[in-house]
Amino acid sequence: MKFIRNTGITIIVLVVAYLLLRQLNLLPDIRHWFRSKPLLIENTPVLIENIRDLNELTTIVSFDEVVISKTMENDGTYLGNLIRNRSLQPGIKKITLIAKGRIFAGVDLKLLKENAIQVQKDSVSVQLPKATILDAVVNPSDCEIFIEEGNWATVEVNKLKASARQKIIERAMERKILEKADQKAKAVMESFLRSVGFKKVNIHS
Amino acid sequence: MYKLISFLLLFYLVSCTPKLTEKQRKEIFAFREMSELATVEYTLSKVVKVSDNGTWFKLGDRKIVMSVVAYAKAGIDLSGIKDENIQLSNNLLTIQIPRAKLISLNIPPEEIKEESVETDFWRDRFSNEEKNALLTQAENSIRQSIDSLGILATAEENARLFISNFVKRLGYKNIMVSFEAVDKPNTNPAHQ
Repeated sequence: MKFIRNTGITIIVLVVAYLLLRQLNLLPDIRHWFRSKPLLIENTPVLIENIRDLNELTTIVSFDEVVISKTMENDGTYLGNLIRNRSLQPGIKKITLIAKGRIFAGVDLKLLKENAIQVQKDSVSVQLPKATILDAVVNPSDCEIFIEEGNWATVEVNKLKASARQKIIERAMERKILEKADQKAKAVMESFLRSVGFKKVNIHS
Repeated sequence: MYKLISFLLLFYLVSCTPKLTEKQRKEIFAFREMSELATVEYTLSKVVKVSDNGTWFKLGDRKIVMSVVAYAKAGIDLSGIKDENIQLSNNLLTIQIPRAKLISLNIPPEEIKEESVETDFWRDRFSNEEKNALLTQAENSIRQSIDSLGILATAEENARLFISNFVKRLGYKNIMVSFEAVDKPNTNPAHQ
């Protein structure tokens, strides 16, 4: 009886002491004890590998989102995959990736030929290069791995991200991004030439 | 009675079918017009290094090293050049252009490499979701270091040179290209 009473008093004292110390922020919250520490990358330098001069006039950017799913046979033994992947279908691996992307289109003004600009008093004629895709961006922050079952190597996932980017480019091309980029490039060039004093402006590509 | 149940079931199915509004469709796929002149591209590299050994109740460690290559393009927004920014007096053409900004940051998936990975027996391997979260941290770190790498200064110098040469081809001899006041913000990472 004495033992039970002493144990009870000890528990009450410990609980009260814990609550007091928590109030004073001297002990961490019990809910945080079993929380994993966030994965943080170490501070490493960003190195400059190359510098390239450009003259790219970006006139259209398209935003798009695609979903890519792939199912493949898993490498390794059935039992090994069952233990390692804790999957109901250890012989199969599956991944679903949601990728957002941006396609930048415009004209590369480095391709302006020597005779591309013809000036006569207050009139000017410019032959612009054809619009092209200047950049297709699907960065890590644009990707979400929605389903991942089985062991997917980084190289395999990178291939999926690349195919998502290709799909985004194709969808932008279907929606005539290059024609739109051409039209806008002409408008930008015409506006600039008029603002520097030309009365008659003729832009063609 | 059966008709009522069928009707209710049909109503339920129709009401549960997800419908994309026109606004939602536009958010998923959209074109945006711009007029940005990219004048420089920096190729950058970064090592992404993580040691996952800080959680007391997990047995064993995990370590991963990846490397990434990023392409940062910077330049000026030509739509910022208004009529009042261009003046011609005494045969001198003065053009005031906006400050340079980051136009795009591209980390191609092909240039992400897993250099080394080590997982103790008791630990789960790094999932691709975890790897992607680490790469996102690296992307943010590269974005934050843009200012200190001198990309914007190089972009401005190249922009000044390009506009001067272009206007010379239009027949002007005396050209002065200057930049907007420094107090205006020169970075716009919102849409990259």
